[in-house]
Amino acid sequence: MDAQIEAPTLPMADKMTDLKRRFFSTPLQAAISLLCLTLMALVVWKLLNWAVFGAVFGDSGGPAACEAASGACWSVIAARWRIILFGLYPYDEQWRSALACVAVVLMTIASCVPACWTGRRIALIWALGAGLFYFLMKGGALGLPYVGEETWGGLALTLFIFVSTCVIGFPLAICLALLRRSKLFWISKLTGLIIDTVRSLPLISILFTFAVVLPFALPHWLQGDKLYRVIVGSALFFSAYQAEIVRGGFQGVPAGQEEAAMALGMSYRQRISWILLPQAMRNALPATINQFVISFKETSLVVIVGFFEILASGNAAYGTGEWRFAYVEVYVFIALIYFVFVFSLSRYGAYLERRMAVGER
Amino acid sequence: MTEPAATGDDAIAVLIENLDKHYGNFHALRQINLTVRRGEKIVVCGPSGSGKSTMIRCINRLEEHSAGRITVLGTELDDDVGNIDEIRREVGMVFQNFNLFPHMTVLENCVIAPMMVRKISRSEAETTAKRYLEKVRIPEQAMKYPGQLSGGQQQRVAIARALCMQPQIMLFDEPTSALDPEMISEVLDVMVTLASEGMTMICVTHEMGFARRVADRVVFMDRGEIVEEAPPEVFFTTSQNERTRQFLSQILGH
Repeated sequence: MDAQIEAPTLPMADKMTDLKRRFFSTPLQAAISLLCLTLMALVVWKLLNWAVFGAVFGDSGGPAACEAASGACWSVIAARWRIILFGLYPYDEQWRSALACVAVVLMTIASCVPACWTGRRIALIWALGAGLFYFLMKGGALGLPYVGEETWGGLALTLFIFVSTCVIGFPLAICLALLRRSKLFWISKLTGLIIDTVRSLPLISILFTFAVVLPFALPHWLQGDKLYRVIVGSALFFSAYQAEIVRGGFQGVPAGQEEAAMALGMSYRQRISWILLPQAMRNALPATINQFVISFKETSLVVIVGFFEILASGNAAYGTGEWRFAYVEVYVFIALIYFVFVFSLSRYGAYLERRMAVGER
Repeated sequence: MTEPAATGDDAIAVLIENLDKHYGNFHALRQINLTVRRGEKIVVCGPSGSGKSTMIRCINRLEEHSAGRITVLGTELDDDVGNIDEIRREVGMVFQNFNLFPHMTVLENCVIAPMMVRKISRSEAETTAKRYLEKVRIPEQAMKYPGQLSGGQQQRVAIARALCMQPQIMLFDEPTSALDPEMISEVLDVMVTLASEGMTMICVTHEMGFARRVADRVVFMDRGEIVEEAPPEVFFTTSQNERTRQFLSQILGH
């Protein structure tokens, strides 16, 4: 433990001896270390060759320029990025889709700042963000032409589905977890049954049911657009898993905490919202971030009910014949976008863990 | 406080009549009768598993009794939830394991309940809290988190937190049992001060020195029953009860 703390402050010479001791202490060890180094260098060299030195950048040459080159064909991104990011959204209106993405990202960042964690502020931020997104995407007022949900796509759609899933699913998960902890036998058993049923179904079948089967069962005025039904389905799925994570968090709070709050005369609502939930959420944080990351990537499943989220619009981007050979580059680009979002999420999770660890010791 | 029941006696803080408590087949409390007058200090002792904690936890209804009557400050404890929260406001409790809220600072621990339950303003609650933190002699720790304090300090914060609700009765459930020996006296000192100011106190503890100094009566429990109830000078010296003598020889024997 001590060595780990001191390591960064070692002087240069000591670092070298440390490296020598770790990797070159016997001839065999030295040989293995050298072999690994060579392999790593080889891989990095190949990768750089493909991605940078032999690659074609810019849109000027078209597909023909790529066919001649040895490396990656980044021209496909330059030529087709709008399809990847915005899907089938009308070309001239795509700035709206871009602004809508910015609105959602800003709303998410704002609700991640601890200063905004009061019920009223969060509600305001979410209402503002969701309203702005909806207005920008759909239009039909203030001079913006109407654009139907069926043409929404790309990154904007992915973000919208993910954020709505969380915003609806998270409070629902807390309610389910509380109901499952209920002392009333039937309520806890019934909630348990609902959670277990939803968890036992594959997400694809839930999405399919909500998109395709539900319209036959619901009266017309309750159906809404397919997009919103799919979001409700995915939020339900999210909440079933998240509810169990939250319940696990509650179980990690010692019984004495609730007793102390009871002894002070606090009501059930006060005990939950001020004493138990904050501690339960802290316990549940690592698993919660995990669940968010999984849900973000699971948004790509909506393609089976006919939505062009970012992965599907990526397929469309290279699927037009002339760019057919450039699918690897498109997938790398999309992977980078996923990485940016997922990595930010996990860094935020790490920040929260550090922040909440205050006073833990 | 709610109106005392018509038959209630204003001078009686806690009245326990024919109390029984079962956990499944286990008979935890048998026919407990106890009267605590306002301003009295009661020390409850006895071997582990004798029902001491269960009994005082019934007084603020952290445990529900199976039969008999408990009347606290003139109000009988029954299944009416509104009435129980009103009683808990007036009955402070200190636990063996402190049970401070780890995600809040010491000061927040002290102001949360007065603000939420008594609906007083933050500034007023903080003034009260600082006064009580002064009283338990740790005003300088107000901005720290419980995890940064020693056991003795945490327990003193827990006492301050309970006092901030300005209760009429204080329950202590083995407040020094989880402490390192050198920290016991700092907690007991606070309790002695509190007793000298006239607080009604019911303490489950094995600190016999504290019982001698402070208690008006010592209640000895064994196997769910009150075996003996006597002033300390009688209890410690001239008790004729066999079980009491045996318990005292075990606890004071070395």
